[in-house]
Amino acid sequence: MLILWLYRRILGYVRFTANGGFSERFLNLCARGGITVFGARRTSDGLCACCMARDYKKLRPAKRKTGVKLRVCGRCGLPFFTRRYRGRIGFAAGFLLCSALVWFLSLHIWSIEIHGNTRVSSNEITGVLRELGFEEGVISSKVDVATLRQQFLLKMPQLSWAAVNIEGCRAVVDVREALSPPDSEGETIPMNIKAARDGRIISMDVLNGTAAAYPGDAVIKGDLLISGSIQYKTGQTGYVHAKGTVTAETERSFTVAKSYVQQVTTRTGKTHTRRVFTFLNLKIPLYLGSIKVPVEREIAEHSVVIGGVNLPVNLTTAIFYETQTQAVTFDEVAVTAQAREEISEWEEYELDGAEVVSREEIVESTEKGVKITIKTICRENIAVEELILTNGGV
Amino acid sequence: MSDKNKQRRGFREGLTALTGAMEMPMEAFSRNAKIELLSNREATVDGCRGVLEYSGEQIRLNIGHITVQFSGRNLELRSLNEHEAIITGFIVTIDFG
Repeated sequence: MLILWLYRRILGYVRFTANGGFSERFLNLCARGGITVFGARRTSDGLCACCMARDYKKLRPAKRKTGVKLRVCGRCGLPFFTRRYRGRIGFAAGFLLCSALVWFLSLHIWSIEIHGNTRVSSNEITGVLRELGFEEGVISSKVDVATLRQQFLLKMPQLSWAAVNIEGCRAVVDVREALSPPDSEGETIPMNIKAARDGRIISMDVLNGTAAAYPGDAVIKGDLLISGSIQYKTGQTGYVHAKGTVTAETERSFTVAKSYVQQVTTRTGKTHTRRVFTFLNLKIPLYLGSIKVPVEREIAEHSVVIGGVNLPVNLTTAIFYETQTQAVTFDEVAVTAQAREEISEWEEYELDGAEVVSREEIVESTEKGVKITIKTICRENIAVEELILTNGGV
Repeated sequence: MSDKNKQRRGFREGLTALTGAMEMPMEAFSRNAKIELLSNREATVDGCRGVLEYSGEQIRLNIGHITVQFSGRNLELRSLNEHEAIITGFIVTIDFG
């Protein structure tokens, strides 16, 4: 029925009334003349029916024979609609322009979705695809999917499989991440273990290789601790990948100096908002002029998503906060707190994994500021692997 | 019985025998009208030869050697062409005459 409805509307149909005369005979003559009459309804003085627009003129012989009076009471369909607006060039031009735009846009890929990644970030994958020329706005017919897939996998060894599916204006990149095998190759490379820093050895746990130092020894950075060279009972020398942990007592110190007068950058409270409208790959700035004062910037992007699909329409809003740098004088307590905060950050980063045996803090106040020195004695693993260079290279 | 009627009867019997032998439906060769009903709301008359009477309460159609009369309410000829008529509305009775 939908097809019939569409067919009648595309070709156009006429609703007419047939009054007086013999309306039944009129219907029969129409049917015999090959004219399909539809939607016929009896009225008080005749009938009201419809026929295709091209058949209306063919009703004349039937009308003459039966003496009915025909009167058009409605015209429907595309031919009458276009006739009504034939003088409106702008309407037709707009329709053509819209059709051309839809056609042009349908040739491009406007949304790339990445599925199946957990360890490798979507941004990394998108970056590699962009390097290979596959990004939003590319013409879909020019994408050689098979080649792209191969090049993509070559550039991303973290992935074991990938598929690029283009569905209209949307591309779905489905990936599977590779599971890296345990690094058994590294176990065969001959290595020595050396000291990463100065210290006194407390304990050693040699898993592979020959111990070259012993608990109680004082070592400096670079000293050999566990040798990868081993002597067999046959008198031959072999090279192995030395393994083990060497716990030593080490000394660490760190000094922070903070002056009472510091240059501090603060926001003045004045802001400037700049918006950029992105349509397809075209960036349209919605502002005039530039900002010439020192600022801090915060950017927010708003994309249009319909049904989970990113449309190529984007509004980027950047808020610029005006800043000023000025000299601020702090008191001793504040400066000391700043220095301690910096020290705690250093400790968190540098002494990670080390056991602090003792900690000494020396605070010196001068006319210009505060200087804090931290001296620590730690117990930590100082073993670090170093490659043994042999005649054959590695 | 006239010769013409005898001839017609012979032709019909022969046609029945032929369709039976070929295992084909009778309506493939018959010129009889076929009426399809969709509940009592729509009737499709295939083989309609013409409209004899038409009103909102009664539609009488010529279907060859007999007539069929649809009675009811708000009856409408939804489509009429050389071979087929579609009647919609609230059909109460169908009479053959």
